[in-house]
Amino acid sequence: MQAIPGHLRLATSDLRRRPLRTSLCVLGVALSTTLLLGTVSLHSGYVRALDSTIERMGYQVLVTAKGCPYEAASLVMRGGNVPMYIDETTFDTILDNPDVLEATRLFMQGMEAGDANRLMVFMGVDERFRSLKPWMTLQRGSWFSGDTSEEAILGYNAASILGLNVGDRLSVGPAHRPVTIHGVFDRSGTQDDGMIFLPLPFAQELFDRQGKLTGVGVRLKSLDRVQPFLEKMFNLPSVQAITMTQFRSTVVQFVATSRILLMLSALVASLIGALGVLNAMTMSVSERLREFGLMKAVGASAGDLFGLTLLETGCLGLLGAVLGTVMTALGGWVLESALRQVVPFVPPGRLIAVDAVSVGGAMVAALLLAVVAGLYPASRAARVRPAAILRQTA
Amino acid sequence: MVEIRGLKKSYPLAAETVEALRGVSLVLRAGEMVALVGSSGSGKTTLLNLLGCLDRPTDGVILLEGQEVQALGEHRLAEVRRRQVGIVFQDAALIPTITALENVGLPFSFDRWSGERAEIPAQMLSLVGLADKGGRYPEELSGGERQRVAIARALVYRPSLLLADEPTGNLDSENGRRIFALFRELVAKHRIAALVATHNKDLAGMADRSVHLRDGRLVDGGDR
Ligand SMILES: Nc1ncnc2c1ncn2[C@@H]1O[C@H](COP(=O)(O)OP(=O)(O)OP(=O)(O)O)[C@@H](O)[C@H]1O
Ligand SMILES: [Mg+2]
Repeated sequence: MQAIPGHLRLATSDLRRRPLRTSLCVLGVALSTTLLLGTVSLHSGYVRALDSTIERMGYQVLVTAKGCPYEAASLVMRGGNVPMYIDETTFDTILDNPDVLEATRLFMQGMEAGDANRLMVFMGVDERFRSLKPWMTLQRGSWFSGDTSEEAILGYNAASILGLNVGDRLSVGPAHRPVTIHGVFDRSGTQDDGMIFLPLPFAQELFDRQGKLTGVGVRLKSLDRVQPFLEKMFNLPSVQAITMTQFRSTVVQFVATSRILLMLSALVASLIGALGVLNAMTMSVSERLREFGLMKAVGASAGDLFGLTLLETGCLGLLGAVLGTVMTALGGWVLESALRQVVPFVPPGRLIAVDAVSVGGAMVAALLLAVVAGLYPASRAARVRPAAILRQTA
Repeated sequence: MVEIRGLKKSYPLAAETVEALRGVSLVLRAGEMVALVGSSGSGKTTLLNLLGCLDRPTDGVILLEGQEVQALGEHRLAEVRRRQVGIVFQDAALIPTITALENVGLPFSFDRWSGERAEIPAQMLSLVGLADKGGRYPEELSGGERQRVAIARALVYRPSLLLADEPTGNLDSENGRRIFALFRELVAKHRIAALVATHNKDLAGMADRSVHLRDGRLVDGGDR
């Protein structure tokens, strides 16, 4: 074994001789790499996006009306119509709790708005919203002039979707009441970017839900106090509380389950890819037994031919891995949208984070796959008996 | 110098055992070209395969430059094939996917220390008169040219033994004579021992001497 350039040329010469077989084989490896890399990257990207979304909720506990807590939490996080309400008096009870550092009343309603009648999410908020989410700074304009003033502040994306600016007017609610855009938030990278914020009492009145809340976001003084706080909430009638940690682990669990399915299909794809390599290389070797016999006759050892054939499959694997990585980077959205179909909550932004470590891992995996598939053809090449082969003159 | 003593080879088949060689002894001197003649099935290819270390004898001794090779391990045997023996087959047996020049240098591909000999394949090609055709692929060469490429490849390591199994079998008589003349010239010039199997009496006459195989035995020109 030596002079890699020479060997490499020898090893790849047959790959070049059969471009169709080679490209099909490479494609097979590429597809399995894509699935593998996509699955791995999807998970880490998803968890990262989820964590940053939860971090940016600003509260650790969400109090809502009784029902499925996870559904409520994901609705609140995603933004939409939560048909169940709690009484505003609950908010005062929560504020009285000594473990609570800060809490904000949330009132959420989805409805069409603007000229294009796009479905938008309206969020009634109070001053405390700003202290829970200090990063929600105003890019333009200013905070509501009063509790019941008929004004709206737009999330960064909502402003561009609706094409509105400070001072413009927008009709909102079932009665199409006109409000003045009083400000636009900076981009936060969260769901808040897509929402229309209204002063809480005005929002309640607009949707005819006076004294009602979708929920209360609670930030505790210390995370050690989560358990006693949850117990207190449990004792309140028609109210439930869920921690963001619980929510996170449930969602991650769900993603992990879908990931196992994805992983299984990645494994099946890998198996098919490996069988493709095995088949192509076995054919290629048996077509070239005479050439291998000749190489032995001019001094190649069994190890040389073994190595040469493995090098050839290694090239297939490497090409497939590179192509697969490119395909993942370009086509990851297909996987993402598949995930959005099955998982209850999907954070905004790119979910597939192709990082150097997973690319390296996928490369190694594809290479390993190809090399394992190449072991049998390689051993066949190595076992060629030159005397027998070279007797069969053309 | 190459010497074989009492060389036997039998092929065990299901029904019988074919005794292809039944005790052949022969000495090939450096710079000497010996023609190996004999009817079909007499054992010429068998003998060449054994000398070329492509196969192992059932019995007997093969001495290449004083070294017994019949019992060497696989790996050492590969090295002997590479460095000490050059073989030319009836059809040129070139690798179709690499150029003539690369085919000549093929044995170097399997040697760790071939780096400093990069210019030798080109020298060998010009020695066989193909200096300008190194970039061609085998299918772009004539049969005679391909055979000359194979000769250049056989000689690239300056082996002490050159073997050829009916190297002109696929060529017309004119081309065959040219190849034989080339053999003679190179063998004499580089002091190589050569054994060339042929059916052709005229060509055999161009060698320094002939040995005659019949039924696995040397009947003429053998030693002892
Ligand atoms: N692998 C094998 N198994 C069994 N018998 C074999 C094998 N190879 C050769 N033989 C037999 O050995 C004998 C010698 O064969 P060999 O090929 O050496 O003859 P040859 O002199 O080269 O013939 P030709 O001039 O036709 O090439 C023949 O009888 C042949 O049938
Ligand atoms: Mg023969």
